[in-house]
Amino acid sequence: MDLELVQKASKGDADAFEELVKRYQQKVYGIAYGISHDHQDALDISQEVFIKIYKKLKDFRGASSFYTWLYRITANVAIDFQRVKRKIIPVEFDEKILEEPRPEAGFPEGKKFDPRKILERKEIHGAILRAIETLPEDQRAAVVLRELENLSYKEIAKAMNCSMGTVMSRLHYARRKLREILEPLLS
Amino acid sequence: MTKCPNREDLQRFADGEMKGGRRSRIAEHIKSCELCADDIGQLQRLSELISSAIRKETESRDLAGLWEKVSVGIASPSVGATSRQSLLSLFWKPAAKVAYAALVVLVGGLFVVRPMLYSTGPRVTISRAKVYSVYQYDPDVTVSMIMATGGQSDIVWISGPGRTEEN
Ligand SMILES: [Zn+2]
Repeated sequence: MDLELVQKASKGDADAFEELVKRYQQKVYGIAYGISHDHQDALDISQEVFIKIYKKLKDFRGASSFYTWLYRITANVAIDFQRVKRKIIPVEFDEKILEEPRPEAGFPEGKKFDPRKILERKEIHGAILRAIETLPEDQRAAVVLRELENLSYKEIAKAMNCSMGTVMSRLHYARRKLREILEPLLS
Repeated sequence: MTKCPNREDLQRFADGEMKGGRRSRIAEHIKSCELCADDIGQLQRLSELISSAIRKETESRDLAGLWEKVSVGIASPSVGATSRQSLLSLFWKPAAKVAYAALVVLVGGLFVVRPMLYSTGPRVTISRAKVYSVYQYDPDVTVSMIMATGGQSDIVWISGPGRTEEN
C-alpha cells in the first residue's frame, strides 16, 4: 500500500523508496514524455521528480492525495523544464534555421504544417505529437493529464494549482488548435 | 430539436464532467443533431489519438536505469541531476547565487566563455541543436544547462537563478 511505503521511505527506508519509484516511474515518465516529447528529457524530468519527492517525503501527509502530489510535482517539473528550454534556445537561434526542418523536434516553426503529407506517410502518431508541441506548456500539461491519465477537471486543477475554469479553458483552446491542425485525421 | 449547446458544454459532456438534467438534455439533443454528434465524436477521436500516440512512445520504454539515476541524485546532497554534474561543477561558483549566466562554447575542444550580458561574441549555429538537460542544482536556484550539438560545435549553456515552485 502506498501510504505504508511512503511512511517507510520517509523514515529512510531505501528499499521502500525504490519500490515507490518503480511503482510510479511509468506514470511519471509517460506524463513527462507527453509534455516534453523527448526521451532524454523525459528521463531527466522523471529523475528530478523522484528526487523532489524524496526530499519532500517528510512533509507529505495522507494517502488520498499521494497521486495529486505526484501529478503536481511531475507537471511542475515538466512545465518548468519546457519553459526554460523554450526561453533559452531562441537566444542563439539563427533566423535562417527556422527555414530548415529540424531533425528531432520535427515541427519547423516557420513552416506550414501540412497534415495531408503526414497522412501520406502514415505518421499519425508523429503528427499528433508535433501538433501537441505547438501548444503552450500549460495547455500541453492539461491535455496530457486529461487524455493520458484520465484525470477529472478537479484533479487537473489540483495538480496544476489553478481553478477548474482555467482547466476547462486550457483544454478548450488546446483542443481547438489540435482539431484545426489534425482535422484530416479526425473526420 | 433543442438549441445546440455551446462548445464548452459539449466539451464538458464529452469529458464526462456534466451530470443530471444538463447531461440528459445534451444526450437527447445529439440524437437528433448531426453537427453536435460530430463535434463530440471528434473530441473522442482526438482523445484516443493523443493517448495512443503517447502510450505507444512510452509504454515499451525500458526504465530500468531510472532508479539508478534517482539514487545517485539522492546520494549527492543539493544536486539534482548528476549524470553531467562534473561538467556543471566546472563552471558553477557557489558564491554566484545571484544573476549568473554564461555561454560556454566548445569548438573543437577550444573553450570560449562568454557572459550572457554581452550579446556579441562568437555566433554558433545550432541548427541541429538538441537540448539535453535542465538541472536543478540547488533548491533555491534553478540552473539551466543546455548542451547542444550543432555540426562540429558543441554548446554548453548555463544560466540561473530561476524559480522553483511545486506547492
Ligand atoms: Zn446541435
